[in-house]
Amino acid sequence: MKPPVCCAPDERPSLVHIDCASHVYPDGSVGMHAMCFSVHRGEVIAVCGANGSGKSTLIEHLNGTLVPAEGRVQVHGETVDDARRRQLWRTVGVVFQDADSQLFAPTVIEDVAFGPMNLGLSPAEARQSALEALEAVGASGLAQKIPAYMSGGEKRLAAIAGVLAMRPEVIAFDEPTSDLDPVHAARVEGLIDELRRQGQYGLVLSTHDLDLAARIADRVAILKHGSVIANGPPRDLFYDVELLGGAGLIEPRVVRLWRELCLRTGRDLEPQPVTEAEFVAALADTGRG
Amino acid sequence: MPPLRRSSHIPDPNLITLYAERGGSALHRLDPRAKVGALAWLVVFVTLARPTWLLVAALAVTIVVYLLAGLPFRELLRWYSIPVLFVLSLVVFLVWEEPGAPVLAAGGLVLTTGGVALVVSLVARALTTVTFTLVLLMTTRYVHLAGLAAKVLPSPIDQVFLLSYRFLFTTLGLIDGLLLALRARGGGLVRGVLTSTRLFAGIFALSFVRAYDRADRVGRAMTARGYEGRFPPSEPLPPLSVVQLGAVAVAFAALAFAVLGGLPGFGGVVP
Repeated sequence: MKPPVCCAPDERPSLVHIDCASHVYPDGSVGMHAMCFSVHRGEVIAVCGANGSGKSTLIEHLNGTLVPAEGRVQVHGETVDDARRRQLWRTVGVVFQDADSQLFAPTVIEDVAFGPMNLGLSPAEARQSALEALEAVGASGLAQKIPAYMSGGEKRLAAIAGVLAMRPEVIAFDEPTSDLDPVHAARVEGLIDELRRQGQYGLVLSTHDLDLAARIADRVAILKHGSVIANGPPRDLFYDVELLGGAGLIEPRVVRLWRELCLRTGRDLEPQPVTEAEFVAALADTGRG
Repeated sequence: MPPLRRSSHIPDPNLITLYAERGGSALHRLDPRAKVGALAWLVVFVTLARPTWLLVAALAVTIVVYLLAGLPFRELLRWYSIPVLFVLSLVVFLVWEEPGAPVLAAGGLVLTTGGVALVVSLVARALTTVTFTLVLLMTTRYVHLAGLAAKVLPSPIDQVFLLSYRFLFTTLGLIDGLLLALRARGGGLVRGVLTSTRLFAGIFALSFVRAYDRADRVGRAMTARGYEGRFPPSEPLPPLSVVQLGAVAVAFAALAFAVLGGLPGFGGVVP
């Protein structure tokens, strides 16, 4: 087993940093072990791992809903103490995997306004903020809808709006496209990409869909048994079959196809495409070559 | 809107919310305080009124109010089944040997006209209260109910009340899924309970455990968005309607007069 990757010095200032943190659940199962993880502004980092690898535990530590038994959480370089941890939700918003658990108010507008109200905005300001967030995710039409009668994709958009309305610095998405149809999955993916382009957020997405991570992430952290065992750009990690197999992951479809193509044609794996666009470009180059 | 899947006999909280949030009848526009006052008045009224005809009339009027609010009548009839069964299960031992003309003899027991009147009175009392409670819940937006709770109840009781109301949604949602899974495999609630009582008792208990687990996740999601024990309503209550509250006050005064004056129908409570 690969040892945990501990915090390499990074000159970029991190928004949130988890420093060699460990968490053990009451039943003795290890949620995190010597976990080191940083989130930077303007970056999408995909946290990839099999079920039970610690993705959701990591996200709940980012948001302060779980506390590490060992190690520490830092925000803007300052260690988060107990009092500050209770305010961590202001910095890190979480879009949970199960949107039904997030949407608890009778209408979407009231649910999206819940966070801004907790930030201390007046009811009118909170509703305005909620409307703006719904507009930002292209779901203004959902404002008066009742979550129980919405589709899974609509619920996910409303849940994202609920977090966006709080204007956090970091947004963590737990399995953002799982259970969604291709159209809604593409819409959520496009939304994450749009947020990245705005450059004001640090974006974390936990997923075991490496195709999604390849398309959207600037950096990937591979998790196993509650630790980061590899960390880097998708291209550096997704061609490492041993690494991915050891983490219980399957290489992205593009990587699989490119490897097969190279094997059959006897050419080198370079330029190692990881996205469909890169694959097509590489294929075109092969044709020209 | 997806078709209703839940047992048609359990009030569907999502449908209740839908009518409350989307309805546009005159009752929807009434001051929520007046509606709560009217419900309180109605409960006192059906508790004190004695004649069966008066109680049946109260039920009829309440149903008319329900219909005027544009609420679904067929669902109401289905939702009546549980309160009716509840009342019948309570009065089954009380209805026999009441004074009155015999209607039915079963074994050594005699059901009289007085016993029938007792059943009708109790059912009418229960259904009147259930119907107007549904009118209140289906014509009042949640944000206004929350606002009222925040004003009337001390903290954290108001939070407990509001979260319990939403927890009901979670529990019923899980029971909904359970019934759907039963039906999808040819099962049925009544048949299942009769043939596999222990198994179904376990499933029923498990649905509450799951509801608790789900509520825990909802709680975590709320904490993640800054919930610290206060759930402030995102909209203020509508302005106080002096006329409507005055009408409720007059109704209370009239009821007090009827009771204290020993008017027909309210006899026996004269001081």
